[in-house]
Amino acid sequence: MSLLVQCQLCPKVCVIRPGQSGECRIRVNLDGKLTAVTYGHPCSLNVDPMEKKPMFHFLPGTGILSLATVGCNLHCKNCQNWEISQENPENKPADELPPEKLPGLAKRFQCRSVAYTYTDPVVYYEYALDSCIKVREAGLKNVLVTAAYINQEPWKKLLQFVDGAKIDMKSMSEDFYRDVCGATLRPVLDATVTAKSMGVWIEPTNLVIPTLNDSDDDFRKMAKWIVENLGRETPLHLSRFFPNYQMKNLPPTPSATLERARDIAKAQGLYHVYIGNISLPEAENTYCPSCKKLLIERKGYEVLQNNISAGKCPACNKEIPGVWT
Amino acid sequence: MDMKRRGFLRLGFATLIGGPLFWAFEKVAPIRYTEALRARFYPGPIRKMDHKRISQPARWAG
Repeated sequence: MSLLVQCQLCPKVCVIRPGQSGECRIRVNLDGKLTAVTYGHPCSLNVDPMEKKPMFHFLPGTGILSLATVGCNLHCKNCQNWEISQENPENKPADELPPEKLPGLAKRFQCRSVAYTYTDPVVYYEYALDSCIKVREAGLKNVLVTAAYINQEPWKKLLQFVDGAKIDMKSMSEDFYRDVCGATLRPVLDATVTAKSMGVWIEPTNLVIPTLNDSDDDFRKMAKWIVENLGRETPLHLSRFFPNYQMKNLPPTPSATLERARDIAKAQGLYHVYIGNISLPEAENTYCPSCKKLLIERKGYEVLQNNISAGKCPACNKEIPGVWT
Repeated sequence: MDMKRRGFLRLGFATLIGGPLFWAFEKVAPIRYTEALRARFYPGPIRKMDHKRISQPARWAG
């Protein structure tokens, strides 16, 4: 019998020799069996503000227990977390936290939700899946922070237990995904639509990188796709790029570019477009799309006021989609 | 239908060539997995859980 294994979790479908790992570094062929070697061992485990994910329409102002194991199936040249995403587990210390102990830890820190984040929960799939089940059983919520580069069958299985997802929409260009991330665009779009169709609350984020994905056409295409496939009430986060990892040759994104992107996205019909990773006045506030009343005032990761009442604008009673309770 | 000599030889050759090919394919064709086995041991160092560290926001983005 063959000792080669093929991992069918993500579109890379790595064929892995005995003793070797897939591209993600953590799905290893041990004696002819595919093994998730970081299962139950997060290298990062912290309580973050929800706004740091960023998720702005999901339990605003609450803390979220956030975890990651090492490894990633993408290799973005601009990765902000490359020290854990592009690292081997042998080199990173980890906590011992089996899924059944996760809800208790979240409750201990008064968190109402758990995030699978920092690297990509796709690659520590089994740990994320088992944890999501335990967390849901305990009455808490699950949030994925992911590039959504995953095949449909495992994705659908995981999404049954997921409440919210911050999905990285890196670009609407296949060339960008191939050249910058070592991936492809189509599976990401398909996974995002699937998540929406399964009732998961989605907040896409676009990291705007000078010269690579910052043209008017780039912004227009993305906003149009979101309006058509996820709905105009979907919050879009435009995030400022800082030089990092293998992309130190480009400058930080100018604020004018981010403001231009926001104007284009709003012109395409999106109600809520936020600018992050930079301090711009009112760029992180939520306003009622109907009467323009200030609903949530934010500064950095802090919520200064939240006027949303029972998911509605207190002034005009318009429903504001999100997960508020 | 009776098999002619040529047909018999063709069948023989096909078995001679196809049999080993099928055997070799069986040997090298990867076994497909979507879900991996849950490892019981972490290959790297294990650290002591520190609640003070956990209570702080992570240095990582996201």
